[in-house]
Amino acid sequence: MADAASHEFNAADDATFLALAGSAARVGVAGYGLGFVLAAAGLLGLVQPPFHLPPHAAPVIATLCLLGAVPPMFAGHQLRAGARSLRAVATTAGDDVAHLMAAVDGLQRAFTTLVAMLAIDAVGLAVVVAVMFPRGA
Amino acid sequence: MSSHEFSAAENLRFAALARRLRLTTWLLLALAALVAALSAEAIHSLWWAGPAGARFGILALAGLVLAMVLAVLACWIHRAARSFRAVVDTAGADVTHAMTAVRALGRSLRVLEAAAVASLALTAVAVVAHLR
Repeated sequence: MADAASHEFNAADDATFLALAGSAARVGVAGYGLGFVLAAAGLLGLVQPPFHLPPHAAPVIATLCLLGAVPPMFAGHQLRAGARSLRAVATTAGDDVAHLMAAVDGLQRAFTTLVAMLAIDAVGLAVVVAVMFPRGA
Repeated sequence: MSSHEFSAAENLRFAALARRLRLTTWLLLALAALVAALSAEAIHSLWWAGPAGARFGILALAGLVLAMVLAVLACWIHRAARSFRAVVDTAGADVTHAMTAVRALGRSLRVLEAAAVASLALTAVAVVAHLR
């Protein structure tokens, strides 16, 4: 087995890491944005429920929006941390594998949050389907 | 370069990421199925409402596009998961597998980026249309 600390990725690999770092950082910002929009929509839905929604559906949907705002913000933060480590793989020398493993850990945390977020979204979407299209309506 | 082998401890971390990615794939596919079901409901409503229910058609179209984006995303994340798992399960080409996984993950994040930009543009159009 080669010494992990001595391994250096080549220029083509570095370009791939930089591209992934850029995408991860931008998707992280999008996560913050999505969280902010969901939180704003949830608060607005509680304060001033939309008139075209059934009265029983508005608070449910607003609460789901508020709950759904937390994971994207958290995932965005973790993705940006992972992006920093990926950038370090490409922009530093002598510690590439350590930076890659830090990025792997960061991505693993981000995807753990994403799994929670997707699970909440799936349950939320199923509730919305049930509320908007009740059986026999 | 490609003869570099990751250690057992590092393999555990790759395996954990591969598991999360695989779980993400299944959840994305479940979401795609739910959105497609919602689109089918909208198409059903359009069928009964006729031209007056054009908004149902727009909802159905948006839902089908979203379901397709989720399915494409799931496909790339699944490829990344497979390659990260290959880092753990195979010997002799760890770096090659890791770079394949990184490229697949990069493509999936670019799909997410495009979806985020498209959502932003659609939101802007909806806000402008609402204000007019």
